[in-house]
Amino acid sequence: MVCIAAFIILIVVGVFVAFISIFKRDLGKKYLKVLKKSWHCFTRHLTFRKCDTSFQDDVKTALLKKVVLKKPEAVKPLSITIEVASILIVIVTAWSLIEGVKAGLALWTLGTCNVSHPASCALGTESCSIDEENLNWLSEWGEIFAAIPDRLKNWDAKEYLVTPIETINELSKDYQKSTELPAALDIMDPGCTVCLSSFRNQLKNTDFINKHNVYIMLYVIKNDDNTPKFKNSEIFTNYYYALLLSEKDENYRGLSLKLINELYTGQSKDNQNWQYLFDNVYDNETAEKTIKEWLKDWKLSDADIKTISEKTKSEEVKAHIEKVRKMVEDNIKPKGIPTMIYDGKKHLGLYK
Amino acid sequence: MNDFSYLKENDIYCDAACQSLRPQPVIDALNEYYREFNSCGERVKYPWGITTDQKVNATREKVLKYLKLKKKDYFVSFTLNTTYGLNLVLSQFDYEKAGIKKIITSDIEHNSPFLSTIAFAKRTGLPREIITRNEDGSIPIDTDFNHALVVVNAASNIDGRKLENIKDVEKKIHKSGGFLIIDAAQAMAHSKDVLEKTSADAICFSAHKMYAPSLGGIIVRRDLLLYIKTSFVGGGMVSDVDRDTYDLLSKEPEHAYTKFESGLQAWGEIIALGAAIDWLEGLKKSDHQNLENNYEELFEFLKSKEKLHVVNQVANPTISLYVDKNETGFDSHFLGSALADQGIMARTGYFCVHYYLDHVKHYPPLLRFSLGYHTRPSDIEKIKKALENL
Repeated sequence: MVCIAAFIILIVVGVFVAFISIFKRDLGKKYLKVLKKSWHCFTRHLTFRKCDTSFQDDVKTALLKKVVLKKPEAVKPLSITIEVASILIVIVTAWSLIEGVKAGLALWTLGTCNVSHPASCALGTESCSIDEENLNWLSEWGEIFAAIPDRLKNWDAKEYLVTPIETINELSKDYQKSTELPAALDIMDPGCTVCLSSFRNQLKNTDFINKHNVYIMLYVIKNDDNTPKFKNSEIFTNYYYALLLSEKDENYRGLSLKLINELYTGQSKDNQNWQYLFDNVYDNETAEKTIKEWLKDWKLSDADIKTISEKTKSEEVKAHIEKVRKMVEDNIKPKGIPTMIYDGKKHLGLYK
Repeated sequence: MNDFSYLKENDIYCDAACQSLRPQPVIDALNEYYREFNSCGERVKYPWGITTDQKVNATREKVLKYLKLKKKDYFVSFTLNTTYGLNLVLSQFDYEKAGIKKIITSDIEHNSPFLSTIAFAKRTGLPREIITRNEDGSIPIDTDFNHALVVVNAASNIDGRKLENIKDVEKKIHKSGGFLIIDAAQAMAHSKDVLEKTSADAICFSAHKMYAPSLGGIIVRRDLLLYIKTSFVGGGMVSDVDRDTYDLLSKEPEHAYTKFESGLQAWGEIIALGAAIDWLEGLKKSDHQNLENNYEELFEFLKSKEKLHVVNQVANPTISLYVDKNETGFDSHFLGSALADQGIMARTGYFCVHYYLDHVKHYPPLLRFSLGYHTRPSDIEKIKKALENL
């Protein structure tokens, strides 16, 4: 074990030696000599053979030779300490390597290095986690491996559209509507702050928005008790889909897009972001009242608003939302929101 | 000792059994050859070459005189080292003509005779026997030496024990139709008394273990030439060469030494060996006493240390010991490295005696202090101080 631990330490030290060697070439040569010896010993251990050099003893001797003549009785306990420390170094390194590989693989397949708590991964892009659950270590590996085929397949946004009616492109002045443009799907939760930033970034990046038909799919992230993660997301989503499913009627055309645009880009009279108010200040009643006020501002009559309000509770809207939920959870299986599908890939997190 | 004044105070050299330090007169003699008369011996007529020849011949005589041997009975050839000498003799030995039926060596041998006798047995198909030496180094006299080629050391490189009954042994071997080849590597410097007036058939030695430069030598009994089938041949060994034949110089008694000297020899080293013998012969009683005091004091000290297991039965310039790793947590290599850190240079391992130390005695690796005339009383004090906590 001492031999393997020494190799690990030498590899780490190598980074510094490489730098110092620029000025002191002899040091580099000496280091390489020791590293070669260590590598030989290391490879023999890896192949379950005994180290045929004295490298292991050389390491111990180098560490303890000052002690042996002064305090010989300390050699045995120190030697055991070195063995134990070596075992720990090897275990910690092996564990770190396995965890590193796991995190890398998870980042590649799922877009997050933390399978159980996707939003906690500093290496991944910002997102709002969907299914935060405490998976055990093996289940996490299982999820990573299960996601490999998804990662390798070619994602076509059109295959996942539940409501292929409206795109956010209408919000871009230069957008030339064309069915020839590739589709992009943007799955968002109205209350997710990362979705707000992602939405705004898309609008800013006209290069993206003008070259894709970007479809919005609102998905409400739920807690374990089935309540919405963001308290007003469900009400907002109901109104969004009620308006979207009413697009055939001239009165309501374009209002669903206006609704999401207002939530993400608009502000109240006292200059507060609507999303902030919906998430942190408004109760359900106030949130619905606010949406109705917006609709009124957009010239809908009281009767039309009533119609939409009633439609939010309709079987049609409920069924549609359920369809969206199934598409997201069963087919797209994102680890967090926002998740976008474009250019043949599934992208987790903030659009930058 | 003034002749080692170049030795720094903190350099404590305790590996004389491997290679002794060279006293200043030996270094001077070697330098003198290189600076004053550097030349090829035995083949030139110019003055430098003549000086070389004279000094080389003088060394041959000094070696014989050193062991109180007569020129009419023995000659001296130079080689690389003891191992090389033993192999030269054994590989060319006509065992059938000599009527040899088996080869014998002993358990405490250095790899030098141990391996060469294995090779000899394999080459000839003769049986090989290993006799167990007595605690004092003597050979059990009841050993069956009938038509045996016996290859043994005169002093051990483990603990310096000597072949005390060499005279009886050689007498019995020769009476039984056998031959005796001596590994004198360790005996030449500090135990030459056992070799004096020997009747062994060949004595192989290393000059570098007797205060001389790196060089080997074979002291050969002239009768042995009858049984040497020359197969290792080269320049310096012939008086004439025809298309497919050659005449060996060794036919002439005064050139018998050429039998084992193929090619150019290490003239400077041979001459310096002469200087080393002069130096050894010139040592005062107090020098011998100093060496004896040093190794006796060290032996007593090491024996008093509980954790150090001394192998020697008696005090000798060569003292071996081991430490039990299970008991202390460290082995002799470890201890040797720690001592080296203090400037104390002692040998660790099995000193090329793997069979006896590892396979017969099952000792862990050993630590060996081998002292010499260069050893100062202060060196012993420093060793004692370094090991006092053990």
